[in-house]
Amino acid sequence: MPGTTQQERQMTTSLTDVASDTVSESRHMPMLGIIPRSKMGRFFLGWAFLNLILAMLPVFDILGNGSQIVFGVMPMTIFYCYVIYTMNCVFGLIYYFLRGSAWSALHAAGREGAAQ
Amino acid sequence: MNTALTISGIILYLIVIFLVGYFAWRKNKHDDADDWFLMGRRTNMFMLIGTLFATWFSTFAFLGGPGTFYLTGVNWLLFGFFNSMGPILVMIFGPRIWVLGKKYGFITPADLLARYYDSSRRLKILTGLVCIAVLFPYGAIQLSGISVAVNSISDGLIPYEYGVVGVAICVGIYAVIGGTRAIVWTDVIQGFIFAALLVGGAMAMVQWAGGWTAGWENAVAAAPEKFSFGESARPGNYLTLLVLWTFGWILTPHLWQRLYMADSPRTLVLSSVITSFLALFVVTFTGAIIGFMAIGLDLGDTTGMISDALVPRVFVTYMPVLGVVLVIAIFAAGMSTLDSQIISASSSFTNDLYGSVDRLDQSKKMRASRYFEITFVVLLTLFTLSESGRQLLIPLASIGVGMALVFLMPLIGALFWPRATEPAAFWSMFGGWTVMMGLQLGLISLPATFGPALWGLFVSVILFYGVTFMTNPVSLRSRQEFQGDLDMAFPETRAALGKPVTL
Repeated sequence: MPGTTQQERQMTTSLTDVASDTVSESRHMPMLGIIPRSKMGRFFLGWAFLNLILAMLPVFDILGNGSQIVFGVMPMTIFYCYVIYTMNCVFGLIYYFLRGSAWSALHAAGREGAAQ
Repeated sequence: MNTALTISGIILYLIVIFLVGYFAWRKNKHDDADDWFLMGRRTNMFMLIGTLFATWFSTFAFLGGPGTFYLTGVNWLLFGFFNSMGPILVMIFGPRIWVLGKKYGFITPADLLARYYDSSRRLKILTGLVCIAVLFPYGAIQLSGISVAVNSISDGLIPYEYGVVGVAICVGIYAVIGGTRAIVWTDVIQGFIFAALLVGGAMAMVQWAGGWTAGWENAVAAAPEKFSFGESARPGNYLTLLVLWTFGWILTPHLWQRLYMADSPRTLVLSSVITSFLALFVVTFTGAIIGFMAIGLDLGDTTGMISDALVPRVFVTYMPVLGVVLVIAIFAAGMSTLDSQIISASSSFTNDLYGSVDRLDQSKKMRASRYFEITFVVLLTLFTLSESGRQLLIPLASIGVGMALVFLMPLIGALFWPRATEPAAFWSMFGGWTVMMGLQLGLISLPATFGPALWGLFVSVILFYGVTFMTNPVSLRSRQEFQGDLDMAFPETRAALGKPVTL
């Protein structure tokens, strides 16, 4: 198993409940498969939803909707939307540093462990 | 347009593409399904970004995107949302899909879903059918799109029918000969060509519009109603498109298969971040600049103009000499999507449908896949040329990517929710698909607040959770293989268990 030491494999057996035939919800997999159990996971899910809501605000004419040129750059709606969309990319970048690259490192460590 | 120059440009481009196909054929391990469909799971970062980019963005991104900004204004701004968020989903769903794909040798979406749900044959066949149903109209519209655009730009020099047959033959030859390796290699070239033209086109547009600030001011003055959401805005429709195209980045079969291809975890996750930035700024922002600033230009009488005609019209008006580059870029954008769809459909047929009724060895599997690829291209061509096909094309292609949304709940169950059950996965997929198709073809009716794809997703979600709580989870072995065994391999589950996210 990539990214896992022998000791952790033994601990997994006692710690996790995915394999239990009687438990209907696991204690560490996301609730209903969607809501993460860790605080960081929930933070990311919340951020993604926030971006979705922020992107919808101009459509409902609540925020960021208008044809006037802002900061001499571009019309308000386009400017606002592209700021929000850039936040999607920033979200991805931060997710990469906190989760993506950690997975990559775990996988590499697991391979090294297996090779040794 | 200079006829000789256009034809020479197309011939030169096709020679380069065929050469790439030939070198890929020489490098391919023949009779190896992994090598044929997934490039041996050894796609590096440069190649993965190129193929994600070129496969996802079709002629629509190049022609339809700017044209839709021009015609409908800010109503098309969601184009930027789903193309910046979609690639991020690769980083969230992709790692488990990649690990499981490598561990169990999965080639298609159905391989993964069927294995988790206790080797369910009915789920495998249904997933395979939905994959082909997604890819067929989506492929047909590429074929049609390239031919319409080339016909328009060449002033009728290349008739629609010749375009359809010519493109089908070209794509068919290099896909059937070179497999996925040829497709990934050509994707990189094609992606670069069309990205370069978008960036160049946007820069030229700023120049033609009289500069950055003047360009925006002129455009707003010409049609202020196109720069803000008015009373005609349809939030439900906006949300439907936003959801289906965002998840399309991982759920459409040809994109899902790209998640199996990466040579390492780093390649997969870093590619997703880079693609997100590229998709937002190189494709959608340049498209917005071209489309919006064109509103302030004098393009003659544009009454009744379709969205695909804007970019050709701008080039013909301001820089006719670049017409040949435009034709090549259209070929590149359309062919790079179509070829991936042909190979993906072939893998679904061979693995999920034919493979479910007959036990296939590698050699038989590869032979079947090549026959299917030829048949698929012929059917696509006939469909695109027929009158009834042309009438069905738009409604089917509109729902095409939406149909892939029915994979979402079964996938979430397989990767993240041990309580999920096989009947829930099957019925949620079947029910959601039926509702989408029924709504799209007018066989059933629901309030038009949301589009067919979102209604189908709602039905799929309700059925998935409802049936799950009435039936038994999948076997202990499946849960252990897909979830329990991977607990310590992923930062999120490690964090939930109170462990440090890295070793």
